[in-house]
Amino acid sequence: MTFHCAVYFPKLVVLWIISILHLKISLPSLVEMSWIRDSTLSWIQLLCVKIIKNGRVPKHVAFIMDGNRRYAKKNNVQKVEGHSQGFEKLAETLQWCLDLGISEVTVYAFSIENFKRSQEEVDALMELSRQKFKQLLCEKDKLMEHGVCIRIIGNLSLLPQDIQKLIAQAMILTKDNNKTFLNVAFAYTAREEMAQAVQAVVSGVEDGALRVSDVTQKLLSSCMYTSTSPDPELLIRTSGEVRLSDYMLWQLYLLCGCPLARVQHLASPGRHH
Amino acid sequence: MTFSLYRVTWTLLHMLISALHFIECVWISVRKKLDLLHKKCTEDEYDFISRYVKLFDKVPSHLVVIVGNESISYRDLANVAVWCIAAGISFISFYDHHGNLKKNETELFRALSEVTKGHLDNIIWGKKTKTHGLIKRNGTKNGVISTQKLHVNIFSLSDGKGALVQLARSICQSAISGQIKSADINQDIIDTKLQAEMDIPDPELALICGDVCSTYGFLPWQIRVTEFLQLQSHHNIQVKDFLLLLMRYGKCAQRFGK
Repeated sequence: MTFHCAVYFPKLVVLWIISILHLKISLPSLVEMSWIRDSTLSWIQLLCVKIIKNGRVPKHVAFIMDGNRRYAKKNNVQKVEGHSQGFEKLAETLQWCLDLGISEVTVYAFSIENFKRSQEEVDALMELSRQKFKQLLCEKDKLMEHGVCIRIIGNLSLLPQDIQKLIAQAMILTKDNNKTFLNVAFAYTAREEMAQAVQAVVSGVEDGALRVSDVTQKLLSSCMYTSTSPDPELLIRTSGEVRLSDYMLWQLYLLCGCPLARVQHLASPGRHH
Repeated sequence: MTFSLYRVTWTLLHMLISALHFIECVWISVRKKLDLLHKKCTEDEYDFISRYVKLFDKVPSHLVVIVGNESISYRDLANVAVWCIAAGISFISFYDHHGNLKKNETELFRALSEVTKGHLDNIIWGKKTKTHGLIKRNGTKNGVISTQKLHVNIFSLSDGKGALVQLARSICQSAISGQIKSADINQDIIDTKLQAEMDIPDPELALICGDVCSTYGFLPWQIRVTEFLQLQSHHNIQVKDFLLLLMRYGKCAQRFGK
């Protein structure tokens, strides 16, 4: 029975997170397009949050904010509007995570595969991200007040120079914050991440800084873009699709909405399950 | 000891959900036992599956069964393998993160022999099995060449991240001997080398057995676009359960980032 309790503590958290997400109706036009916002929970949602916080809440949640284009099609708006509203929902979700006491969130914003989309859409997405990162820098005081550390993970060299600059500024600005961590996967795929980790390790051996016997799982993990974060305990994919789509494959031992905290022990060989 | 009202509410809710889940599990196992009692063997399962899958938009070329924390039922895994042949699935992999399935491969071999009544001509034991290379096949049965082959592989935890580590080490050795430069390393090279080692296409569909939705560390490199579907249990799995899962797979649309 104890084992089942350990399984269902987090499952209850998930069910409640998902129900809170469904309770919120999307009305982004009235709200300023801000990264950090004040809590917008109704009293009943606040009550739910207070109850949930008594159980085990995941420390790190990963999100795939999926379905922007399908949402746009369904609501007869432009794709870019779908992406913009997707960002709105992301910002709200971050606030809910803060309310629930989830200290680290990683979001899949843009995949390297997305560069294959039409030039028009890619340009629109880059322009949207340009605006968002600029806005982030304008909200410096709020970020520092909330102790938010922003990290952008991915192959940033694939992005336009000016966006790279904005990203660098945001990361440098917030690098010493340690209350909450927001990781944005941008120009990211898990395979590219794993490949660059292998490349880094081989380079180390080539230079004589490492021996072949130093190459271990732990070493490879420390070469991943996510090396400073604990492995996510929960993955939520908003569209209901049941695949990982090249997202954090090395780090994720858990899937879409149904986590098992114990499974993260499997990541380290030798630890007793 | 302080009793918070919220803590009490949380505990009660948790107990309620656990109780509901327990009732659900009991109901499912009772229903399964009733299904087994009423099972009518009116039609050959092989023909039934072959006809049914023609209705689906797509069928995976590589299916994985992730056993999870369940005890292994070799007979049921063997059944799934045979159904895969009927469905036209070319590759099946069984994944047990504990490593028991790998250790007891002969049990699976025995179960497959029983289920196929000794006709193992259609089964090819892949590189990730001990039986690989031990069986000589002539590819014919009663003078007719069997066209539908099923490649079987068994994986455990060490085949996932462990394989990547081994690959990194071997690339390091190549770099030391000057055969490769670190600047040349990219996704394609790693993919090619892993493919050569495993000799399997990327899994398209994975069935996770049990209540917990987890990959249990299965082949992180290869599961980039794998669809994961939950299977209550592989114990006493029926043809209709198998077909329902394939039907669900057949319906999903993949955009590959575009």
